[in-house]
Amino acid sequence: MRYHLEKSLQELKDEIGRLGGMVEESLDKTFLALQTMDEALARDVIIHDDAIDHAESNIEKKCLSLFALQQPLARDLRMIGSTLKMITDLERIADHAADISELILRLAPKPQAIHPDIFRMAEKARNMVGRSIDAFINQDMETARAVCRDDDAVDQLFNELVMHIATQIKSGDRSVEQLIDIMFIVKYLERIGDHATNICEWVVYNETGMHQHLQHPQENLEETQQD
Amino acid sequence: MQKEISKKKIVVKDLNLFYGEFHALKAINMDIYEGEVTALIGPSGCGKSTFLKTLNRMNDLVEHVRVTGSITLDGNEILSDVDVVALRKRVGMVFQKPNPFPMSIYDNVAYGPRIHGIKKKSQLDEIVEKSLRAAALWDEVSDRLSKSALGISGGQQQRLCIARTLATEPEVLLMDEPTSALDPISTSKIEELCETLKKNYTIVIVTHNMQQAGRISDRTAFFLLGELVEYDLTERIFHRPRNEKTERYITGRFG
Repeated sequence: MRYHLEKSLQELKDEIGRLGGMVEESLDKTFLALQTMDEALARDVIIHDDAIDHAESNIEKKCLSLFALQQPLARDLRMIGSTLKMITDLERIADHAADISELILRLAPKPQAIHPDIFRMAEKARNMVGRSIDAFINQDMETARAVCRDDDAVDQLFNELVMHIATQIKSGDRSVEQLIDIMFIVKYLERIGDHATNICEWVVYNETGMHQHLQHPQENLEETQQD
Repeated sequence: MQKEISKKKIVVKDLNLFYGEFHALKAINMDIYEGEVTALIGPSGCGKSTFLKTLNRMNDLVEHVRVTGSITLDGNEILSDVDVVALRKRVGMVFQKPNPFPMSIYDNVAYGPRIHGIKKKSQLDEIVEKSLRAAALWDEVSDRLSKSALGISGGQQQRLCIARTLATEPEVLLMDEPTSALDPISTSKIEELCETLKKNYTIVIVTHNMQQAGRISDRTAFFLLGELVEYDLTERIFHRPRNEKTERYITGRFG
């Protein structure tokens, strides 16, 4: 039995769990800051982003070292390869939390009503992220596929909100600068959903050995099953 | 990746082999493709070397051996009455340990052609040079062809054995762990050689080195307890094997 490799793989999963926890905390703080226009909290998220980058870089080093020293194959190869890919998505999610926090700092001095659908979208994206991390650690294909399906709802909210914001800009009732900032927040939320979907695609890859885009699940699920 | 058109060089059907009562190969079915490197992997005693030896009837030399089934080379049965010397000329073998004959480098390579009746010096010179070049050894030994083959390094000796095999112009090269006694540099030379040689030969190699199978082979066959458990493109086997036993073996979780 490859005791050392087994142990390293378990450590890797633990570290993904820790990194995932940090990213989730960033998202929670960001969304709370968005609701309350809490500048201190937003600043905290921005400062904390360095620690997340550092944790991601540590996992990356471990993966590369396992490739070099353990020459993993089959299941092990897929697990380490997909870890290397999914941590980039986790790190990007944290980046987007920091990006949103930057926008909160700009919006906070003149707070205005935020459309409730933005909070709904944030909640859905946050939920997708949490489940994608769990699905990765537990190798849960069903959850992974469900998360990919949920991305459609996030995309739909994104489209509706963009239309809504565009209408507001046209009406000239509110500051265009603020509306553009809010538009960016909506875009970042949509990207967070995409990154959660990416993570889930790596869960499916771990099991099937095939990496496919699952954002339009109805078409792609059949292809996966053919394998 | 799978080639467009791969010709089946060797077709094995329902091959069973018994050493006395011991059932060493069980109903093996396998197609070996021309111009490819096929790796045979599996734990010691799984039957992979035995299988390799059936491909040029080397098992005939073992007592109480019984073989059933069929093996065809270019469509012609080789298990029934064939001239085994002629067969072994077409299907050459390189062994685990370099085994140069205790004679000069030149004579080692010229040995086979001489047996097959070539006597003319100029013709032998040509074959020796061509074979040593093909085995990527010419540049290292061209100035000492008359020296004893036992005086060169292990890696060079193994390439000499490959040159000796190539001298009889085989179509298929069987290699039984050809690098297990060699250092990494010599190993990589043999591996590069496989890559070059497969353009003109069909290569079947037994290896215990999983990474080696990954590096050099197009297809990999996994043997276990005399059975062919899984046979597929190497990329597929090492990335996502279909069989759980293969998975456990190549990830080092067997036993």
